[in-house]
Amino acid sequence: MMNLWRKNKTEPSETLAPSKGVEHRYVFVSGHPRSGTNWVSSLLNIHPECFCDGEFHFLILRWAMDGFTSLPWYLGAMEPQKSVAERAFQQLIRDCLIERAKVRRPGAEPPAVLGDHTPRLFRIMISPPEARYIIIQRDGRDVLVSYTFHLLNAKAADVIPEHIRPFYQQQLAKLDGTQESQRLAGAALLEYEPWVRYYANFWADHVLHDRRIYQSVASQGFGAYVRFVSYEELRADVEGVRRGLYEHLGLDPAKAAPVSPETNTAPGFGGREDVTSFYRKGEPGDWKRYFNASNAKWFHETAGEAMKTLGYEPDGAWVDDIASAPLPPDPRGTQIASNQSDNGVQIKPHAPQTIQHTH
Amino acid sequence: MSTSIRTIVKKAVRVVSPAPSTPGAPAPMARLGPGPEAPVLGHRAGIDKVDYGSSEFPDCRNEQNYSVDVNGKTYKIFFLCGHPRSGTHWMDGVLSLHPKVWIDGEYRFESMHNALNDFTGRTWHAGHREPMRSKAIESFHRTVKDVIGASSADRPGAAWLGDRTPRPARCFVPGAPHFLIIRDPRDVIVSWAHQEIKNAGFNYADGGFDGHFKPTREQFLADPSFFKNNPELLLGHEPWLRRLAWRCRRHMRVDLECLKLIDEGKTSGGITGGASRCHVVRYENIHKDPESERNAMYRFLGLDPSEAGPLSDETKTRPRLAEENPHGLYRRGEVGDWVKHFTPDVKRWFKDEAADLLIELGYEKDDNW
Repeated sequence: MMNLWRKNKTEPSETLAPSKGVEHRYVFVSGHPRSGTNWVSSLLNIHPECFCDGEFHFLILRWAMDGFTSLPWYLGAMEPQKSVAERAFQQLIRDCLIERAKVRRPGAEPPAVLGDHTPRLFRIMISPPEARYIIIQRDGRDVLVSYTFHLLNAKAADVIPEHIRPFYQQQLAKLDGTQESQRLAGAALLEYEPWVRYYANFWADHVLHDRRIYQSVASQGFGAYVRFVSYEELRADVEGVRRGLYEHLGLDPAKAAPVSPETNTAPGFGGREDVTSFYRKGEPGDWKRYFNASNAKWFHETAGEAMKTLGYEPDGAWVDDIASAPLPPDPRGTQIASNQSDNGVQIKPHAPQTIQHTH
Repeated sequence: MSTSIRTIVKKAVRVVSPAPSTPGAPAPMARLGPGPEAPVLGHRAGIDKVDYGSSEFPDCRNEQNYSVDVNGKTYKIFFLCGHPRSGTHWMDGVLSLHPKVWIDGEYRFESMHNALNDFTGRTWHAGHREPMRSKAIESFHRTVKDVIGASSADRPGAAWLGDRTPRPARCFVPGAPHFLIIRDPRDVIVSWAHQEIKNAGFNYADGGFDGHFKPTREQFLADPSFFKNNPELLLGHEPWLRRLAWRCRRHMRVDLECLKLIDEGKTSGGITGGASRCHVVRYENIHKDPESERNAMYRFLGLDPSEAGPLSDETKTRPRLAEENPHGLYRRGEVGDWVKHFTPDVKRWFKDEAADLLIELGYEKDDNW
């Protein structure tokens, strides 16, 4: 599984040329799942001149086009076929986004800026400046926690890699629809080393890939059309950040509606946590409730370089801090103290530990 | 959790789900076997026609379906298909002898077609819903036609522009005429094995055959006559032969399924296809009577055969090359060369895997060969 995201082992550098004479402008919001792509697109959508709705997964076509235009023994790799194919690909994307806007806003002319917000790897879909890009990034530890609960909610074993699927299914079997069972299952997954390492690596691969592609784009003089946003920055200053996003798209920030809970644009969700909801909590630093010395160590060993690159942690000192710090409240509550882990080992809440689970 | 939220969650998580399984490379195995499938064209004794489908199908009658305008001139497009090492290069050369035809290479649109299937096939993708789905398919057709149209610069006087990808005869552009070249699968495998070993090709590498073939391959690379002098070594490794035969059978059965659909006026190309027509060329027939066969091909495109240039050694369009080149793209093109390489064991393994294919294609009446 997950190969859909990773099947292209090569990362062709983006070849860009400014587009001219355009009717609309386009925006592509991307990022690792559970990083805030929905939130960013909701913020864009409260501007009357922007419509960023729908997950098209254009990356599937982008990869196919990469193969079509890059293998030297295919005619598609030669000019003029290569340029013709690229133009046709970009037109396909425009056509789809315009049709989407017509369907979702019947009777209205499609607004000036049309977009897609698939949580995906960053790639150029339509050449700048006609298209602008927003990449949202979030602390990988919070992503890991959020993604874990997200995958539990989805109950989709077929998307879980084989080596961690049995343990995931064991946790699914324990769910009884209550918040408590969901929390216990999530905590168990976050204490399962193969799970933590797999999804930490998945996140790290994603964010480092995006940086590399950005470097390629920037080296050709188009870096200004790509804007990185951090989830934490957005939480701290939603007004300031969204103003910058509108300006990035050439829109007047003054025309945007205010943020509100109704439009899912206000930061956080009133401080509550709903582990069964798509909008779980959205709280930066929430990972601290689920990390201990063991899973912190696994995470750092797997994704430490990415955390450093993104500026979240300069080194592994935070792992030592966790090992020596007073223990936070256990997210699993007190019930766990009397529970057995899956292999029958008594779990002591708050104690750093590695639970050996059998498959 | 409410139903709507659950739907959102499911949709979002499936971002990371795997692509629908595509026919992968089978691992080498002791016995793959033809399985219980009935003959594809079971109501017929093999391929018994030359032309499948009809130019009277509405999709075929509407030439706009498969035409492209380039610099004010309209070109029609066609496709030349077949199993690798069936003679697609040769037919490409033969067709291009006509001044109103240009075909010179492989585009491999099927990779884009497969991606389009993913793009439109998953319920949680925005491209799954109308009108985005139809728009994406329309864009795909335009892409194929525009890209092939770009080759018009190589022969501006052409009326037809083609693609010569060795692939099954799936119709991706409604109405577009197809040529399908069929060759005795045993000769295909002999030619294919040469090429795979020389290039360490997909089957060689993916099947992990380097461990067995490495010394043999080195000798072949040093001496092009190696398999001529040691014919039993080309196919004499059971997993190797079984893999090639299994894959060859699978490909050619898809061709037969496509012919059946084309003949019935149905799409053979999934979501992007439509009715089409297909002219079947037998490699062995064009060897025997190249002039008649190629004239029929030109006529299939509505062209006057008398305008075509002559077959020649220079254009590599004559049957059977004067000199054999075991390392080359054009090896020799001999009919029946397989008998030199099919030892009793190879025959047995091949029959296990693809005996039914030979019968269905009309190369053998039964297994007693």
